[in-house]
Amino acid sequence: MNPAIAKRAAPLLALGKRVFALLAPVLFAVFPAISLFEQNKTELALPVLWAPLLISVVVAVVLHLIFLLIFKSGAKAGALASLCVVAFFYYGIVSEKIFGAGPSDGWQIALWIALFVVCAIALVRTQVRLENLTKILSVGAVVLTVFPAVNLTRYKLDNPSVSLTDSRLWSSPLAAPTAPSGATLPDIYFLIPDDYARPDVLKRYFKFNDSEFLNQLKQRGFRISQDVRSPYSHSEMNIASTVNLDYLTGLGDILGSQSEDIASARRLIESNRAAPLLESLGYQYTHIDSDEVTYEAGNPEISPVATTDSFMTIWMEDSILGQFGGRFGFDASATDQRFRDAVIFAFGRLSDSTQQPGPKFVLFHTLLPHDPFVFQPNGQPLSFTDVSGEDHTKKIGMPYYLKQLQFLNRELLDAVDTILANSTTPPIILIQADEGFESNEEDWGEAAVRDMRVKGLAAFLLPGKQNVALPPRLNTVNTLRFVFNTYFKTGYPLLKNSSYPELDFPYQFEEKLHVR
Amino acid sequence: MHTTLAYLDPGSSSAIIQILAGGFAALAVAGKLFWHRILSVLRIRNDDEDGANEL
Repeated sequence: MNPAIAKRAAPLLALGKRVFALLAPVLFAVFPAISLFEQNKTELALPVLWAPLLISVVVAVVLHLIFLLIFKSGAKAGALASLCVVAFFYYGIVSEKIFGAGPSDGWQIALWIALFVVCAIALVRTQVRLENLTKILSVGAVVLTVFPAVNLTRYKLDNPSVSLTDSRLWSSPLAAPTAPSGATLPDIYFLIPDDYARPDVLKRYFKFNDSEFLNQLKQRGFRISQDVRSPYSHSEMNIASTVNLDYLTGLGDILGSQSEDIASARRLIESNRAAPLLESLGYQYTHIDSDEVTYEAGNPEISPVATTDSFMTIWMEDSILGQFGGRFGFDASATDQRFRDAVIFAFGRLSDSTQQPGPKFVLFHTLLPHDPFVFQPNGQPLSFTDVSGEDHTKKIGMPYYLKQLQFLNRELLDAVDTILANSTTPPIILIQADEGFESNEEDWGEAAVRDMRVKGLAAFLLPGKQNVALPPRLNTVNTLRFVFNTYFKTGYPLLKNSSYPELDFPYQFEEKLHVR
Repeated sequence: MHTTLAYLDPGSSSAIIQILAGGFAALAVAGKLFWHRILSVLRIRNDDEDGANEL
């Protein structure tokens, strides 16, 4: 090379080397988030990934810069930053698969930290040039990251978001409701307790009599639907069908029967048809969730690590922080406490919503009594260790489910009393589970599992309509059709009562379910 | 009947496979870069002066 050109290119080459040395730590840092997202791409919207990616990149870059300042070597800085990133983000991934059930958690952490210290000391003290190590780490990091990144990109390109205006979505348009003349519009509260089993299911399979709670509701004017059932086996699909007043057959047609895209169902919940219909009458719409189930890309009212099943929580559980509790920890005690706080917060928001000027439509979802089982009946913390990952669906988990259900009963009654106390016009209150309990085939057999799955609680307070009978064999898809017809003269036909058992794919609708 | 849990899949099994793939790729590069040194250690080749101060 021409010496003059070489002289001019030298700083650029040095910069290039330093940037190249940054590649490995950045890719090592982003891999856990990308891999986790790729595994769950059918459940999640892409925006959920941005914050973890940004955090990962910033952590890697900052570490690299710090080591670069200290050691003045891009290669050494890159190697040390890579080591730190792996030590922080990869503990959970590696410990489960490599250490397995061998050494205790304490020994595993000690061994992990010891390995980190030995490697760090070796890197710091070595006088050997590390350019080849940079190449090795960079190639490894690229290969590590490229497969999940490509899979994810391909999936998102092949499966664009469903358009809310797609004419295939719904079987028929919904006529605008009409406000009753001269009457004040009642507030409408739709409370969805997740997986709250129907009373007969609780009695039959749990040997639990929920009549104390139900009688309390009846004393407040509620009517209980004895034979209600839901159409599907997924919370998101059931809630989407309820708040859009239609089955998701159209969504299945758009996505295809082999699709596992649940994120689209969440999109339909967040942008549902019921809210604009009521808003056309002057209702204010309020959406509250103690979890992220009814949001497409995270619940804006709670922390992204508030729930045990959020993407960020599971991402952080795999890091070294998953071994610790406390404010910055992500072990079971820490995540369970955050979940409890989120539930209490959501019920507080529900209580606050009663103070808003009406008329209002409040859609409230709580993950309770669905697992994680973290509440005693009196609200004190409860610990349930799901060893197999499916214990919460088995007989061993059922007593814990019942404890949490009893706590929820107290919260629901408090919420109802608050709503009634703060309503100048008698409100409509719908307490309707998305579906019933998710049980395990090993314990119960397929028929009982399907039976339990579609039978959830439904209790309705319909002021001034005591003479209007609840539809027999009510399907949750028809609940709002019934309510709108009763109060707003919409005349919506009640859809045929159908339940679709979950086959290998959620949009495989085969009407084979026979429910006793 | 396929049972889908409500939670996200932690996905650690696939992550391990991807880590192994990255590890093999890194080993392949390392093998290529240090081929001569490896042969020297195995006493197949004698001259091993190049790259003595590089990792």
